[in-house]
Amino acid sequence: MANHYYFDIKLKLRDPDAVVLTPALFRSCVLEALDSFFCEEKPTLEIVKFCAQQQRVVFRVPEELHDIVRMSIELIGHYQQMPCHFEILQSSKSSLDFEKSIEKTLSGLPNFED
Amino acid sequence: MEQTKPFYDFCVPYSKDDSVMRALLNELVETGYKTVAIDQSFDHSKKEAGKRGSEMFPEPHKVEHLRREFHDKLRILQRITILYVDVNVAHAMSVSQNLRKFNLIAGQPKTDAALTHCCTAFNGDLITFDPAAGSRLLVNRKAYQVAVRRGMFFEIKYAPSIADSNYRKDMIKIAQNYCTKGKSKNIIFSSGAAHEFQLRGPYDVANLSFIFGLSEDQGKNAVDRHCRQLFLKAESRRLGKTIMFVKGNGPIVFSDTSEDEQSTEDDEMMGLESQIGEADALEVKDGTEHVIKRLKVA
Repeated sequence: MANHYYFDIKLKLRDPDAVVLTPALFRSCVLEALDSFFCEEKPTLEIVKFCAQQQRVVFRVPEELHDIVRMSIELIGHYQQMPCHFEILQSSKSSLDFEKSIEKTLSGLPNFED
Repeated sequence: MEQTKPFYDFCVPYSKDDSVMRALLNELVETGYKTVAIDQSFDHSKKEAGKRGSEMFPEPHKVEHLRREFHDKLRILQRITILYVDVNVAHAMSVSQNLRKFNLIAGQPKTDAALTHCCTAFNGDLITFDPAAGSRLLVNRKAYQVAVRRGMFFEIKYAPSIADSNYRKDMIKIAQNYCTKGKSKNIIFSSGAAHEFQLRGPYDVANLSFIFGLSEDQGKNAVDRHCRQLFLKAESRRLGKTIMFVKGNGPIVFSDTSEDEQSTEDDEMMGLESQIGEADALEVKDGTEHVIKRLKVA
């Protein structure tokens, strides 16, 4: 089984309502960046989780592509001609899930209703 | 000593629009920066020769309200970037009072001669370049080494490389030139971001070092240690000669050798001290004689 690296990304967009946020478009944006920066054509990039409302994505790439994917994401400045910042919140060899991390954070908070 | 906290971004371009500045500073806080410098540019070459008076540099912009607002989150410094073409700038800088009000002074040469001057004689702290001008100006090995010896730092801005792929190519070329000519010594990274979406976190910026030809350590130092060194150098330039008092809190142990060895070492040290004392006395004597001679001449 091939080793993978997981990325947890927060999408920061200037005007989120003005763009269409879909897994396919996000994937093509990252692949385009990889192609333009490193001439890496059609690398494997699997989207594990995508939430347009929270503007969060978890995807995975083969281990050998970790460094160039990371740099490409840092250098992405536009999503559909809209200024954006794809903030890498976490990258890990083990599987990531932003919903679980959100639940964990919420459960850690004190319950004021009691 | 002046306290600063990592991480550093020494190039946040000034904007008259307070909302833009606030958005930039908020993003900087969020991404983990603690010390930033607001940059304002001054083009010396556009000043006419006849109008070059005693004070040609502008006063720093008023950012007190931003300092108050981000008091506990960010330390806001002020920086001036001087664009110039000839060495006449040196005289203007030496007589300027306004320049002292800036924390950092950066030089942005426009010609090869100005770049060599910037490396060898410029009375500033930082050498930067115009990303729009491309990779026309490339520093040579000797000038780079002189600049490093003088404690000057070279700046690489990453925001233009996010904004435009042509700028990115030029930026990589310039950074690779620093790598081949001077092993990427004394490099700092800063943003030069026009808006908050061009800002990146310090760890991400350090990670960009790979495309700029820096090692992992150099990348980390470029957003942390080198920036601190640059700040201290700039402060020492601003304050001039200062007296420093060092107070020990406890006994100072010089070595952990045995008592006998220590006693012989102590004797040697005493001998040295007496020699040094005599030499100092001679120097002082020479110095006073020199001053008296000068006074006589005057």
